[in-house]
Amino acid sequence: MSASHHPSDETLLAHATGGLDEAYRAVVATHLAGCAACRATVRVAEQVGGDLLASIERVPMRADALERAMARLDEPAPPPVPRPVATAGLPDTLAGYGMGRWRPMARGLAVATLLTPEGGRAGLHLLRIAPGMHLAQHGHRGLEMTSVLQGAFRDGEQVYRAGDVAETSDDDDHAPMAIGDEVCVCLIALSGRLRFRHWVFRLLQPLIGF
Amino acid sequence: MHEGFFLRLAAPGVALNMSGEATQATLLAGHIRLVADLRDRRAFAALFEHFAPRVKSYMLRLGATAAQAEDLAQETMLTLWRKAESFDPARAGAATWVFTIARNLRIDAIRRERLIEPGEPPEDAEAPDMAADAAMAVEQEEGRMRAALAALPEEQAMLLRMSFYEDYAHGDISARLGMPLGTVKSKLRRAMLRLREALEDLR
Ligand SMILES: [Zn+2]
Repeated sequence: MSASHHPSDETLLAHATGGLDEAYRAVVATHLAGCAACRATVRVAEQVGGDLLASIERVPMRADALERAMARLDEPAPPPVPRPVATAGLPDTLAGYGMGRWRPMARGLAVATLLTPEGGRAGLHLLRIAPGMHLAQHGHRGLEMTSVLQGAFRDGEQVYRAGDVAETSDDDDHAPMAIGDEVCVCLIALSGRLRFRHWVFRLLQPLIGF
Repeated sequence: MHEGFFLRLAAPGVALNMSGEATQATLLAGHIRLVADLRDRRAFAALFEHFAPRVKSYMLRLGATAAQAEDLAQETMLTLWRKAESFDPARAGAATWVFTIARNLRIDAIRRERLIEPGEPPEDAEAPDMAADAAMAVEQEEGRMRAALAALPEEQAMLLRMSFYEDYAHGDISARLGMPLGTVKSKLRRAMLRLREALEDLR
């Protein structure tokens, strides 16, 4: 599976710095799991991190720091944290995120919110959109990042399929629509938990028979 | 040709210092290798002296208290000791690898602070393949990276640094500098493109 829409370079950079909010990080990680090209870009950014670490001004450790470290070397490693299992049908990158129940928002549209323990500024949600369903979105602020897990949607001229990532920011006015025969499942991160309420969903006529 | 010969001799063990700065990366990578293979405590002590004060500095820059920064530097070094086998010099240089450990531990610490179970543990690299050639390639790549960073317009380099060390969302960088968000993003994008190109030339 080779994606045709990728996160922007500056987003991959932010991912590499560790500075992305958890919700965005989850979307990017989900994409990275299937995209070698973006993994390579992240490695470039991590090298910048390595270079900065190499040139940063050193701050002395406590006088007994090395002694303390050496004394701990023989400690048994803590048992590995059992890796949480992802909810059936979700990618492994979403393991560890508790998932709320699916809430129907309109006919053909359901939303489930994922719990993000770090409590960042962005919320993480799953959307299930029936083919032909249209989302109209108004007045959102900040970055919205969507990763397609299943099916496809169209936004303007662009078609996004499984593995693709769509990034939209403030000024973008867009109205994505699920296309194809399959239910479209998206992972979406957007700033402001409450922001979601401001969405206006409308159900358009199914494309077929239009 | 001579330099290549000596680097080849040196990697991945103890480096013979032929070319100054670049060789330090080889030396550090060799120490990590000694920790992985022989549980060599002297090599660990050398790595500690080199990296711990830098990791502490990095954490302080990101807003940690002195005690937190000290602890995270300790944790980073302990993780280095335990995971040395997973260091793959074909994939990343020593400093880059330590950077990713520190970054991941910081994210874990943020989660722990919220008294929630950590999710994803720091990623494990695949089985390392310690070919000396690969280590050299990474070292060359690091040299290229340094050169590419030095060649960036000052403003782009500063924005790159800010995005690493000040842990600002790009929106915060924008607010602090009074620079429109779109401008911050496009400058970062341009900086990343240059770095990618500089490294791609190498391949
Ligand atoms: Zn990609």
